[in-house]
Amino acid sequence: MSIYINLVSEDAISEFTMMKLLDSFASKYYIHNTYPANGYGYIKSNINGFNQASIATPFFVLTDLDNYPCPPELILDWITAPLHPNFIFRIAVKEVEAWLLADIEGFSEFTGVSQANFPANPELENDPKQTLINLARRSRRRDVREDIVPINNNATIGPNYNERLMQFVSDFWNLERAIGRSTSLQRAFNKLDNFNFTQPA
Amino acid sequence: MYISRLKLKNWKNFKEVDIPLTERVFVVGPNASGKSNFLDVFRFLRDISKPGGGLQKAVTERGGISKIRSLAARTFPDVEIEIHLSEYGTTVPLWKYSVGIKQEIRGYRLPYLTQEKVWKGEQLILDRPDKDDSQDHERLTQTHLEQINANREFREINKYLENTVYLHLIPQILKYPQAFAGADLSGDPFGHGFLEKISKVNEKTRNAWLRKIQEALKIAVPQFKAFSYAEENGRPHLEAVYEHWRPKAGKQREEQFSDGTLRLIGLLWSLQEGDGLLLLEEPELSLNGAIVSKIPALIYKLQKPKKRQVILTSHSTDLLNDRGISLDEILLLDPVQEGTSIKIASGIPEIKLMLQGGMTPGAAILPRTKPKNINQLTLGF
Repeated sequence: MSIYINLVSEDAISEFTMMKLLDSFASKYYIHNTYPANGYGYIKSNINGFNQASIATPFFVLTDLDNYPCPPELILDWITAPLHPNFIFRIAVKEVEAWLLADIEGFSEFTGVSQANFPANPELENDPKQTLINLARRSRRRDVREDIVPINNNATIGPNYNERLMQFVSDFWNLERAIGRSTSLQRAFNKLDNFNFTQPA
Repeated sequence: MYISRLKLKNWKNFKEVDIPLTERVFVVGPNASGKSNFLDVFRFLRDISKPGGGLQKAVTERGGISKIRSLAARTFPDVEIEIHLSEYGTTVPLWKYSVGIKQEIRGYRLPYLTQEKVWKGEQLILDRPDKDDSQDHERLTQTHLEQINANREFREINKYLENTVYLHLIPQILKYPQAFAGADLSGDPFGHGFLEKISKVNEKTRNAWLRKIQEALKIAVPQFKAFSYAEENGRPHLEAVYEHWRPKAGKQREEQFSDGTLRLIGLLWSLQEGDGLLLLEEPELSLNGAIVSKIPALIYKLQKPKKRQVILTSHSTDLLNDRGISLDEILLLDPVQEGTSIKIASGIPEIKLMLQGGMTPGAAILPRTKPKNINQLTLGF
């Protein structure tokens, strides 16, 4: 029987990546409700609510590490109550974009940018979103370039950033290759692999 | 009095509903899940009860029984509505009213009653069809609720339903009434005659209400200074003065007001006028989020002294982020295979737990009302 799971994410591209990740477990998971946030503030302020709700139904929450030095520090700062076993809290180091960049072959094919330009260890990138945008800037595919790169210095991402990256995730992103270059993705995968729903008492 | 329970069978997209209602009700759900159809139940009962109304007219105005009956209706084709009326603050029914409607299979295909029942407390005092109905089938084309001769025993129900007000003010209709000339809709739902309505209130009361609105507008609308009612050639107008670098700058009339200002005026007026059931369609429209977040408490404040029930629909997080809203007051419309089901938010375990964990009702509930594949919305373009 499938596990009905709820997703909480920072943005559309995170949510879509989580869905793709869950897809790799065939019919183990069935996505119930999704709670898309606009940035981490929403997750941080509501984390106790989602943790509490996990008593009734499992939640899978993904947030970006961003400026925290390491995941334990973020957890220490955000979480005050013990985490329920049905609450899957994962942190992408440093952003979900690093998970995407971890499939160098796929992203190279998608953008037409040579693999030589990619960071070998995307988790060490300080600002993976910027790295991704800079790679897209070199793309020979005009639609990819225009969708992902900000129109000028007064925007942080391109005008159709999320949808274009969703296309990448859906058609090019290879989970196995990405896991090989991202420990935080590997851990998220393992957690979902070993997860069993704890029925409410 | 207020409507403390609602039962529906085959009403528009609701195949079967049986839910308790509170004095203040927030109806949320995805687009086209039936929020307006839900409010229309109460407008329908009003249209039956009001002077010059009646069952035939209420059904005809809605395009006939075929437009009212749920598409999911099969083995049981009747449309049925039942309401319980209780004293404000209690849930024990003082009255119950139930009506069942069907359409003639031959002839003019008029709607007719399959049943009409009234309970005073728990005692059944009207049970149709009765002996007279079976002798004269024509009688079943009218409810007793709509007839003064027949509703003497339960006129209280008639009076209650007749006073229902529905408001979905469309600023452009108020600004350019002549451009939207046409048959008057029953109960003036969109504000076509809003200014006339203001003009009919006696001067002293009108001024008192407008003064309160003025104070609120001074806070809500930047540079708004004063606000008054005026008549010109017998036609009512609203005039406002804005703080301006030119002190002698003229007054502005309603057609120059912003959409948000007019909607706020409409909302604040309707909360003050009348004491019957008030139905509000998306009161957040055109308004700044900070103003919207004040609406739930404002409704509470203004409904309490009048013991007035308010039912509203909303898509707004700002509105539902008010932690003073109880999950019992929120109805969640959920489109399923066979029409739409209605759940009370407090009946959903994870929502209750989210609130215990510190989330607001809006943060816990509204994500459930968005479309499943929202991220794909723009893909086809």
